[in-house]
Amino acid sequence: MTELRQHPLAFLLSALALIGSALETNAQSLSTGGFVSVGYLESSHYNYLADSEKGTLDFVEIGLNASWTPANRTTINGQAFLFELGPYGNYTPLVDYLFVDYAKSKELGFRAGRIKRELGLYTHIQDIDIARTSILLPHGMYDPRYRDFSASVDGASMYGSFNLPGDQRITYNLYGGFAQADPEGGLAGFSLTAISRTTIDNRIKTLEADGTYGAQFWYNPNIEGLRVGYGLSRYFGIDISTQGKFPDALPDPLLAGKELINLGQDLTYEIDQLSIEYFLGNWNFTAEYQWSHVGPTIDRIIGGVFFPDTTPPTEFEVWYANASRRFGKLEFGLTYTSSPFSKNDTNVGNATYQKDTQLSVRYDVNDHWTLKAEVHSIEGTKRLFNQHGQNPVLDQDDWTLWAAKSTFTF
Amino acid sequence: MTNTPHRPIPRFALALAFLLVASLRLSADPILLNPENNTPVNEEYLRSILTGTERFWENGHEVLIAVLKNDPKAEQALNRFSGMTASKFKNHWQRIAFSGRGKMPKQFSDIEDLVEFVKRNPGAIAIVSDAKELRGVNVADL
Repeated sequence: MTELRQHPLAFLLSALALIGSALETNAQSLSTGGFVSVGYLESSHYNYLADSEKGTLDFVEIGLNASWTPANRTTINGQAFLFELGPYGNYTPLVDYLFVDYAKSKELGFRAGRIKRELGLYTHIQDIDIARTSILLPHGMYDPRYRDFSASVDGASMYGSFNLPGDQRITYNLYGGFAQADPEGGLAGFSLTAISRTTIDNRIKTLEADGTYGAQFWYNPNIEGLRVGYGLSRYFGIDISTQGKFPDALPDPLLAGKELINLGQDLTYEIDQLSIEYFLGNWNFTAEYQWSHVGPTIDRIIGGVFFPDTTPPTEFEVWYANASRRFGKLEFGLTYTSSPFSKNDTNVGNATYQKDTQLSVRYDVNDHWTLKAEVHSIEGTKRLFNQHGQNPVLDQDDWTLWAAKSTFTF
Repeated sequence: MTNTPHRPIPRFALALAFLLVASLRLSADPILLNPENNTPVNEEYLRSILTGTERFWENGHEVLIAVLKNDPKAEQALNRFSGMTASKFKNHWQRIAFSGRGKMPKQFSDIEDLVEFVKRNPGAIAIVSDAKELRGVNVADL
């Protein structure tokens, strides 16, 4: 799996070979689709996701998928994906998913290969902006910079749906496998940000993630349009080490010019999430609450001297509530997201929280073309990264982000 | 003991009853299936299919949903059976299809093309507003 992860083109070629053989075998059993999305980001202050302060078009997503049914109850599904989001993605093609799906019955099915990781309402469809009103999903819960290790899993899953008395239903999805972590991805960015404002020449020394498993449960009560969910996700065996150097001119002689290594070994990352979604006519209401913690701790080596971390594991909390309403081809959405709390956070000041009031508008020009625009009024800087020095000083509490996007689906 | 006179049912009442039954029959929504597919479809089963919960027929063939565009009556029936508005239905299936968990319903502007699709695909299913003139497909009214 590791080799395949490192060679997405091999995956792509395999997928194309599968599609080709499917075309020859039975054209009716093959279904293809895709999307091309181009966006624009601009912010009043700071650089969020990309170089947004100057305004940027570095916000592109392209996906091409195919689903083939070679035998009864069996499908093979794949999607090639590439994206550009500031320093992330860089138009490098990757295999978003490629798996065999065998549905023994409605109650029991299996998937194996590169599968989508399901957590909450949007993790498995985080790249599919046409499936929602907004352009950007709530920060802190669905961060597009983390898609390298949050979107897919190389492994297997078991899923199904059970009817309960009184028109109620339970849906489940259990999965396990290997996580992917890109040294240029969001996890790396987050880790480098932690040291970026104190040291120079920062880089990722080690970044590996072993296993991951999780589950998502949905309960549909006998109320039209309502579902309630609980999901959990666990990563284990994460090794993240960052390396930097304190500036020579630092007043503290014990630190000046010394090398700093932040050593995170065999870390675990545990996420739990509650979700609710309710469709009522042309209205759609969603709310989710996520709590997570990273443990055990990250030790430090300064100038060759080992300093064990004695602080307790860091805990995070984030929630959002959203309401959207459709008027024919138009749809409006209002979302409030808050990351109000980080227990044992090493950040200070406005970097300890972020609150976002987001107004979105979507217009479906036709069946294949969707336009979107939105404005975010943001307090706090918790989700601003600085691994490339893009946000060296966090000197302003309040800032605004504008986004626009055009998506073509086929 | 006296004989109660048997009161004849007024003709207009019979006519009214007939019209009521006939109108109920006319307002039923025809479901089109491939001729090979004899699966009995009730409303609960149809909803499972339209929401993507039931992805395969009992005979193992994959469910392929065909949707008729620009037909308000067919759209109304689709909304009723799926429990979703047209935009929600599309959105729901985009979520499924783009995460590899099912095939997007196929849209048709022409009913003849839709019928041809149902004829050619053993797992196909479609909802139309009027199936009186349609030949070569199984028609089930709900």
